[in-house]
Amino acid sequence: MSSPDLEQPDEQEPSLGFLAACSAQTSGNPMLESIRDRSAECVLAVYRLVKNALVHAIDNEAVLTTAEQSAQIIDSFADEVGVGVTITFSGDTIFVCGQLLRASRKIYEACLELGKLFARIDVSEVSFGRQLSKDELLQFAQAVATAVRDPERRAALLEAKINHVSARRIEPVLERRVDDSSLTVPQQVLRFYAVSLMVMREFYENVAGGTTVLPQRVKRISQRLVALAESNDPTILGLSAMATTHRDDAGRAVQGAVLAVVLGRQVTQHRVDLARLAMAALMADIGRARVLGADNRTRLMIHSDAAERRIPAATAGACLASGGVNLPAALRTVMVTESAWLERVDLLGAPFGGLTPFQPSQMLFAVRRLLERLAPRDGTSPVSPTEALSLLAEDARVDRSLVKLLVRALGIIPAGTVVEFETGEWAVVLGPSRHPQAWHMPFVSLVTHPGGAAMDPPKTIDLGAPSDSRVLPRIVRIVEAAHNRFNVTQSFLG
Amino acid sequence: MHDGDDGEQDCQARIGTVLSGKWTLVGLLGVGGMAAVYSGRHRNGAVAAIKLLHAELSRHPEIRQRFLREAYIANKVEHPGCVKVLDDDITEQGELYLVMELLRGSSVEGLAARNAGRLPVGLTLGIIEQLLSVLEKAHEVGIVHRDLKPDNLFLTDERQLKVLDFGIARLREGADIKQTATGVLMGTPAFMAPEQALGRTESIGQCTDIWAVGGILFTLLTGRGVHPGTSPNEMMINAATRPAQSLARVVQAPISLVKVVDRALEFEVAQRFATAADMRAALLQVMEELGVPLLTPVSKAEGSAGRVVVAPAVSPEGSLGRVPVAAPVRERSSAQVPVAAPATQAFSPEGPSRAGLATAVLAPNATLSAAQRPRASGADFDVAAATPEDSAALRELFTAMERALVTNTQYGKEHPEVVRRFERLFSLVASGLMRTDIGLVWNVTPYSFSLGSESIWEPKPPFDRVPYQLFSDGIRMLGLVPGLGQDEFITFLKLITLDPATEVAPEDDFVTMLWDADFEHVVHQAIDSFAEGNQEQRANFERGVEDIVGLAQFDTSLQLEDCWQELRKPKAEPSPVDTKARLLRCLSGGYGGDAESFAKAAAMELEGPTPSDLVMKRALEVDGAMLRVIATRLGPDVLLTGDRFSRAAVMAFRDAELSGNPASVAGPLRAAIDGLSLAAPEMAIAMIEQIAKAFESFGSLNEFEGSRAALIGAMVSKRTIEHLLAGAERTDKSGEATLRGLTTVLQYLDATHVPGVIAVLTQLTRPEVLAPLIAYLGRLAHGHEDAIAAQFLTADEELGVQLVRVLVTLATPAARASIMVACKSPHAVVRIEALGQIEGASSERLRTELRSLLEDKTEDVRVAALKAMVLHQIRIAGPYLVLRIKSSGFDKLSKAEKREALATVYALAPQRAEALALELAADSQLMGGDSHDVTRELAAEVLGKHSRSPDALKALREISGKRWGNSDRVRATASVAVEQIEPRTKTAPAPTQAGGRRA
Repeated sequence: MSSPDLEQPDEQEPSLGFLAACSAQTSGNPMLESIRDRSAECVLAVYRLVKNALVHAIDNEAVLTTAEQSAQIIDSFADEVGVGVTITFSGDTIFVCGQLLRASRKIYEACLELGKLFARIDVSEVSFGRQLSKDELLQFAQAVATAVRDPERRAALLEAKINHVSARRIEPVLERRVDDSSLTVPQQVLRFYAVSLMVMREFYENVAGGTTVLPQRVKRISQRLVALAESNDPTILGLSAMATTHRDDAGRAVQGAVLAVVLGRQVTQHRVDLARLAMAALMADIGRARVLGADNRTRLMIHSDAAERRIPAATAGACLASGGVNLPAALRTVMVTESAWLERVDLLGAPFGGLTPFQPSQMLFAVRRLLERLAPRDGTSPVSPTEALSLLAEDARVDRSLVKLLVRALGIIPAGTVVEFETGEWAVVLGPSRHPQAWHMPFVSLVTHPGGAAMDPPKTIDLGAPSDSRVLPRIVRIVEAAHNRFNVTQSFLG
Repeated sequence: MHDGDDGEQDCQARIGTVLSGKWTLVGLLGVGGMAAVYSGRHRNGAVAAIKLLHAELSRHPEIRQRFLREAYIANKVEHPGCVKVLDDDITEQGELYLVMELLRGSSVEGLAARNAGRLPVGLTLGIIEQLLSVLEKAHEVGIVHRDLKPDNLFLTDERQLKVLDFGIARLREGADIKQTATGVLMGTPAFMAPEQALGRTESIGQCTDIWAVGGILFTLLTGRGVHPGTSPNEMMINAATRPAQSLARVVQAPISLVKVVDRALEFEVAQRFATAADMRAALLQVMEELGVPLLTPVSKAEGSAGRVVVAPAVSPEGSLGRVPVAAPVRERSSAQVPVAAPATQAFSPEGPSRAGLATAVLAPNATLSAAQRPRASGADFDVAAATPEDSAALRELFTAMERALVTNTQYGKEHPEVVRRFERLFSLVASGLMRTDIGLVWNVTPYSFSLGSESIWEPKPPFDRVPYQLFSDGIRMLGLVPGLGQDEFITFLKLITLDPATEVAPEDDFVTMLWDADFEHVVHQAIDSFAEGNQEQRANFERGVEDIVGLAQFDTSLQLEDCWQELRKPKAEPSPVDTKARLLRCLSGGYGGDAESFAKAAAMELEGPTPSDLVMKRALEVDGAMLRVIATRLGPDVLLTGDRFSRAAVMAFRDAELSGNPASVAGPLRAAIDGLSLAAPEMAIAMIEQIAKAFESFGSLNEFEGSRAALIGAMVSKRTIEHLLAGAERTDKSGEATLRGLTTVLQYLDATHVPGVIAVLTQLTRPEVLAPLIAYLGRLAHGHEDAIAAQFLTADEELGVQLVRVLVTLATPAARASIMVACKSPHAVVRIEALGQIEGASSERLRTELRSLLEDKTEDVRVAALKAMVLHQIRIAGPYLVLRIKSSGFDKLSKAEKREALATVYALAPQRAEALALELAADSQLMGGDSHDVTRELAAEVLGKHSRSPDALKALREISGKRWGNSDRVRATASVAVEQIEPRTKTAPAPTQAGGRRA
């Protein structure tokens, strides 16, 4: 006989938390699945028709039969999927309605053959609309055959005006993929920053417009940022110098993610934790975008307490809608919501009725507060990074340990700060000294001569380097960030 | 004695003791029949192996003498491949011990065991070359080993082969001298030359060792013994009687290598290589032909960094006709993790430029230690130089993988066949990795895995989506690198076979999942195409990127100079001293120091040329423990996150309600619950409960009651209810838990699910599940009366009765109309209940219904109807039943039916039943006959069973005592009933009215 005590563990299992069991409960996208399942059939139908049209006259029974069958297949596909069929040939890759063609080798190779044939007549994409008829398809086949057979008329398909059929050529330049491995690390960092900004701009635009899909590339950005941070290249820190340039939601998101990873790396090298932190930072303004909506999304300030009060809840809603229910997404929802709440604690009181916010939420809040000093959303003049850190240290809502870690990460005179030496030279701080014993001293790039002429190329000096007999210049002034009307970021790119 | 565990325990117990005041025994390395071997540390710090002759043997002078003599045999062989005896001594207890050099590495046997008994060709040839070099020296001084086998060969971390156990066989002979005077066989059957197996000791010589070397070669190359045999005896008989099979019959090997092995294994001594030197020369020729470098020992520092040796490989099929690859030689401490080379690898400079399944890229970080080495990335690999053997090997691997996956789908992961197939699959991976110097890598195409242009796996549906999805997400190359463990491999396999439509979070693709998985021994190459959408959108994206990059690179030298001119003379700005001091003051506030002095020190620091490290460091110090706490808290806490997430979800839902889009929040929650309710219903319930409870954290529940009902209603789909019901239908513990949870969940639900619940009612098989659903319907089924009515046609008796009661509870006009439908139920019990509820007990139709049922021709039907009335408590039938019992025809019924009828009345209307029973029991009829007596008996019986009234007691006493009109049977039954009732009347509370009478 089993005792009640022995049975208890099983009964307590649910208390492990439902999130532990929620791996990734997604319902999938039935339309995409349909496209993938049926795409090969469509491309093959076109392939057969074109092959027959090339071998036989257009009124040949074989061509007519194939055209009829192909029209049925395309029509049936369009009915099921809800859109017409678009076949795009891009190198060795074939897309149907934007989805990679899913087919066996034999079919794939046949389809590639079709792509090569189209390439000969300058076509890389063909589209068939809904309600496509057999006759229209025959006209298409005729145009292809003409273009292939007669070099003089190779544009026959491109120029043909056929109802429900269109063909075009895609500029290969648009398919260009930048090979990051050929770039220097600073260049990679810069390109990453630019790409991230573009991705996040699209993301926030979509959120403001009511879309809640979380693109996979947002997560890829967070992972990429962590990987780049592992290079310890100072350019990562230098990105904060661009905070004032990109004060929109996307800019703040990327800047926040960079600072969050830099801060996180002070306590852990765990890539997944860091990437999670970065991704939360990237989504920090998701609730704000939602509350503002598409019409007001470019506004930097919200002048309504009621709207501000809504933001944490809207943040939770947008996170939930975009990430679904699984442990990483739930943790991100909590982090971003708590951070948004902490930013509005004056209006709303402590998060969740006084619960201590999660550690990552506090980190996110800390970097967002710093960012607010570096690039105030209200458009007021930014303060120097050092001043921003001082103000952060004075902020009772920010955990002091986190401020210390931020100072250690960015330097007492943080990266991006413009300083003046007693000799009159100006320099841009690139980060803490490379010498571990003197990490609190800055590593700088001299940008002017003592007389104010720009130094070309800039010269780097590590003020933490052992002095030997040299006399290192002494910093006498921090140039206010508001007065920097020159490109500080350039100093990081060498 | 030193047998088994006891002996080992004794030896273990000696660890820590000091021998001869100088050698401390540090660890036990092994225990043999003659001696135990320890690692020891000299008082001067030197380390060595201590071989301690067992105490009982140390008492025999002859054995001691031989132990020493044989031990020093190895010293006579002046070769680094022999283990030197450095010293010998006697313990205080008189035990003899030897001090020998301590080896670190692995036995060749151990190395091979981790690779299905085989080693790469290059490594094998390198080892054998070193072995022959040792034998050359040994044979020169007249020493024959006689027990060569992989277990007696030890490869150190420095890649130096050491030949162990010189002369031990002779010592064994000496130890057993009393028991076996002659014909003692020495050696190990699997590596025993024919003359040795035949016991021809006079023929044993250096050629015996040559045969053993051939046997070792054969075994390491093929993974099997020279002679078949499952027991040592069988192998020995085969060794003594049968010529060895040719290596060529077992594997495809270069002919030159086959010749060397076959000649070493010749049955006739004269046919073998005459000397070890001859064989070594032949072997060196083969190595040169195959491009295999010598196994060159390295310095200790290099060796400990985890070197691997470059050597030819053997494919899984045994093909040897290919280029060398590297194999590891380091000892592993854990059976779980390592199957192949260590994570850190170095490559012999003399190694081939192209090796194995992947091109051997000499990555710049290859010689770093494990801690320094960045994780391998796809960029380190190149699959361009694959050979046909590589293709074959990978093809076999993926074929095995597909089979394993199919079996897994069919039978589940616990099935023995599935387990076996996955084990075989992993052994293929492991042996593949053992043969490579950098890893197994392959390309991903939309429909296959390939090596260059050659396809190695073109899966059929459903597995065709594996390469498709990987390619679609941007993955172009995948690879497994040495060091891969079974767990990591299985995790990798699970990941790449996930179904993105149902098992992958929306934010994830295979690239992000591979990154998150943080594999140590899986590499991938992926393209990052951040631009999305149509061509125009992609073009805009690229232009935007270029604009931002251009802006960042824009040369602003002129602006800088203007700025300098303008700002050179500062206005009223905070000086850096002030700013920095303020920062430090803030940060040191919690330090306990004097903030002012910090500020001063900070100011001095900035002004002075030499920084004051102390001030800075103290101000910025963060306790190490605090750092660890922060790091730990960065990870997710499932429980806390679940709670906090539930609160966030509630908050989000209320906001979404206000903005008119509640589905945006409820939708994902419902999707999650849907999934959970199928896979883990109890978790779905836990989630619903937690979210319902989260409403309470926002203040007064009254305020949110509507929101809560709306959210829970929206979260719980029809499918979820179906899943939960299916779970609750199970009769195990999980079913019970789900039922309890379902009951709770139903309390939260609004009327949304009434139609769904009604629809599934008739499919339920477990009566317990019905109760919470009926309660739910009784609470909320207003407006769904018609749907309930429709169930009466198919509902069974019990459900029908329950539904009638639901309708009665609803008490709406529509409910009343629906009850009328129940009056047409195929089940009489339902009809009765319905009629009674509508028309009351006096209903003529009810009587007709009851009559038709209780007057059925078949007794079984009548009895079943009675039982059903009790079961469903059809009280409405009570009055009619009383009439029926009192009717004249009742006596004619069978005893069983009469008993059932009386019991039914008692169950439905106990008060009325007692009066009736008393009436029946007392009804003495002159002409009643036997059947009437039976009725009276049964009445007395039922009173005895239930009654506790003094009136009944009195009546029954009278019946039991009066002979007139009462048969013996009736009186006897009445007597029994009296005995039964009496005790109850004493304990029963006295009725108010009867109290006086009793007094």
